[in-house]
Order: sequence, then structure tokens, then C-alpha cells
Amino acid sequence: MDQPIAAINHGTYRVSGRTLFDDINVSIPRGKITAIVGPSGVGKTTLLRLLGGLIPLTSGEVTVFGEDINACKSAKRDQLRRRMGLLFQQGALFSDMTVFDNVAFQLKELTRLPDRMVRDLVALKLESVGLRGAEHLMVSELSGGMARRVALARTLMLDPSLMLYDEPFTGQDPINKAILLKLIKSLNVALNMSSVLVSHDIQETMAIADYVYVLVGGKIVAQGTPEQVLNDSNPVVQQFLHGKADGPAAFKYPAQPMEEEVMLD
Amino acid sequence: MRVGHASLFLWSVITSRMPIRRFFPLLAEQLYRTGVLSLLITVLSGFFIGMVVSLQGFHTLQKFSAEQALGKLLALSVVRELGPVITALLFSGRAGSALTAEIGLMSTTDQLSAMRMLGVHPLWRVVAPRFWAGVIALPLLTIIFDVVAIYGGSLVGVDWLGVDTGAFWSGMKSVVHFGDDVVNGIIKSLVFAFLTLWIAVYQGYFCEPNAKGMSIATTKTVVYSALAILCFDFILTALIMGGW
Repeated sequence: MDQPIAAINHGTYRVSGRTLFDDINVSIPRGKITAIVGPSGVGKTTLLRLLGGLIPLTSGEVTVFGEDINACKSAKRDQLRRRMGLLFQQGALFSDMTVFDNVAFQLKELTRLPDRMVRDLVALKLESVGLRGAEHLMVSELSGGMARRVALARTLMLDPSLMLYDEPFTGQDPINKAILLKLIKSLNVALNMSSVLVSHDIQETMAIADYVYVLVGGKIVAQGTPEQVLNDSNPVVQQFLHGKADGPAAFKYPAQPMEEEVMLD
Repeated sequence: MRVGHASLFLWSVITSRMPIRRFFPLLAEQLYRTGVLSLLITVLSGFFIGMVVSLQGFHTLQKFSAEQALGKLLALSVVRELGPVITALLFSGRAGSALTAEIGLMSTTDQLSAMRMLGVHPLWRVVAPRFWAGVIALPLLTIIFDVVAIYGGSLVGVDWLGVDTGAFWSGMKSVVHFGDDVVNGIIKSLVFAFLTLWIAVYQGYFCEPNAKGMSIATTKTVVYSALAILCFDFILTALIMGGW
């Protein structure tokens, strides 16, 4: 069996007195699209940041390309990150640069390629996301969907082996969603990548994922292929995946009874 | 104040390894932003400070019939104290707070995290060029402040109040020593630059990622920088004057 490209082993993460993840085990297989789904606020974005080594686990291990990313020296960690890509939820484009400068960032900072080659490579990446011709635009001139695609082009510049997508469909119109879905799937195949997709858009995610983890209350409550997860008997999983208002997962934040709160007679 | 944490951060900034071919273009860009764009406020402030010192000084010296010593008073006040201190205070208010806000905004909008994930460490790409640009720019701005202040003072003292030109300039030349006064003033300016930039980049890098956090960080930059400048001004003056 292939070694996973990335994994979290016995991962526990606590922040501000709250346990976000409690002894979770996540394995990202090579060449597949792995989805991590769960309710809002459960820590899906935090999980991606843990995989990227942006924040350290409280206990446990995060391995990427066979290395413990938190135990590495800074230079080694930077090297590992050059083989990964993280598409941030808001894009995280460099606001004082143009689209061209954003997409060319890694080439200009990390390589000595001539300007002509940089221009060609940027054009190719922008073409793949449908934005060739927008090189001159400043970040403030981009729509949300365009910004997300520019961020994707920037992240793909060095053809990473592992791509992490943080809520790529949030706030996107149906056309952009369809474009992003197609891009994620085709890039995974064309570049032989492994992808981790974090989302609470169940329909879109299940359409392209090869393996799914369901994260609720700091624990993995279900995992498997989309079909296995959709048919999981756990009522919490069923409530979340099918969008049911009533069920074991509480809608309301824990609080004292209303009568006591507002002093009703 | 987390002095230990800030010290470790400063050490990381100073020792951050960056590609030389990228460093100089980034440094040049930041020298323009922190140095050149601070010129106007430095020149205008120097001009007015020089004029006020000359005006006040003349009226005080007149009581002792010592108006001809105005040049000495002006030059020593500006070169030893007013130049380094006021330039540093202005710099911390203008450039320091801008740096904090810029780095803070980059942190808040995940730009620094994005940079890390692209394999480019923000310490050498964002923080170090800004730090070193400020350390280079502030002493140069201090020199400009000194020159403009003395010129402004001469306009008031000589042209307006009638102090003898020869007495004004020759008195200045006789009492200002390059090593003791000018160089010590530049040394003060370098120390102030280090402190101001250290505080500015640290506050920006570690600010809370929200609007209130950035507001607090920029305020802290200006307040802490001002206090550090004034405190170290006393310490350095005591050391230079030899009384300590």
C-alpha cells in the first residue's frame, strides 16, 4: 500500500482552553482527492493549517512527504512547502501587487528564470484558470471569483504535489463553482497531484472526492468513499450530510433557558 | 510588553538569510517608502524647529547680553539633541506606524501565511527589508534635519533679529566638534532607529488579526517608540557626557 503523502497521527490541538481536535488520525492518499467536511466552526481550516505547518499540534505528529513538518528546521519546512500549495478561503493575494506579480511571485523570489520565461509561465497558468489577459489588473479590481482563480494560479506555479483547498466554493456563483470543480478535478489528474478539499458544500465535494472524512466535535465520526459516508448509519453524519435541522447535532449554542435569561413570568 | 519574545523576533530578523539579489531591490524600495517619503515632514519640521530655537534663544541670551552666542546655542541644541530626538519621534509617528499597519494588515488578511505556504519566509521578504531601510534612513534624515534646522535658525537669527553673521557662523564652527557632537548625534539616531523599527515591525507582525488589534498595535508603536527614544536619549546623553 502506498505511503500517504500527508498524515496527522494522534493529533490533538487545543487553543484558548478549548480542545479543537482530540486524538484524530487523518491519512491523505497519493493521487486522490480527499475531502474533509463538517459543520461550520469545527476546525476544518485549522486542520489545513496544521497540515501546512502554519500552526503546531498540541500533541501528535503531522507528516508531509514523509517528514514531520513541525520538527523540521525553518529552511527544510520552506522546502516542503514549495512542494505543497494552500488555496486560502479569501485568496490571500498580495494586495499591493498586480495579478501578474502575484502569480509570478514564487518564480521571482525562488528562481533566476529570465523575464521572458516568467511571462510565458504566468500566461500559461492564467490560461489554465481562464484569466489570461488580466495580468495588469490590481487585486482590488478583481471580483471574488476572479481573486480565487488568481490565487489558484499562484499556488500552482511550481506544480505542487499536494494541494490544500480551503472552502473553495464558498461565496461562489453556480458558474464559478462549476469552473472550480472542473479545475480541481482536471488539475489533480493532469498534474498527478494529491488534493485535500475542505468544504461544507456537500454536493460539490462528494461529486469529486475519492475519500471523505467527516469531522464533528473534534473527532472523525465517519470516513470512507462518498458512497460509504453518505450511507453511514451515524445520526450525526446523516443530519449533517443531508442538511436536517433536527437531530443530535445542536443548532443552538449552549445557554441557560430562555425564561431565566429574559426573566419572563 | 513581551521583551523576551520581541528580542527573539529581532534576532530572527537580523539573522534571516535572504537571497542577496532580492535583498537590494527590496531594500531600495523600502528606503524610498520610509526615507524619501519622510523627507517633507523632516524638512518642514527641521525648518520650524530651527526658527523657534533661534527666536527663543535670542530672547533668552539677550537678557545676558550674549546674543552673539546664538549660533553656538542653535548648533549644539540641534546637533546633540533636537535633531536625533525630534527626527526619531516624527519618524516613529509617520513611518513606524505605517509599517505596523502595513505588516499588521498583511498578517490579518493571511498574506504572510500565504507567503509562508509559497515557501518564502516573510521575515526576510517583508520584515527585514523594512527594518534595515529604516535603520539606514533615520540617521540620514537626522542629518538633513540638522542642516535645515540650522539654516532656518540662521534666517531668524541673522536675517531677522540682526545677529552678526560672522559671530553666528564662526561661533558655531568653534564649538561644534565633529567627533563629540555630530558623530554622537548620529549614534543616537542609529540607536533610536533600531528601537523604533524593532517596535514597529514586532507590533505589526504579532498584532491581533482584526481592526481593533491593528489600531492597538499602531498606537503601541508610536507610544512605545516615543518612550524608548526619550529614555535612551537620557541614557546615551549621560554616557556621552561622561557622567555615568
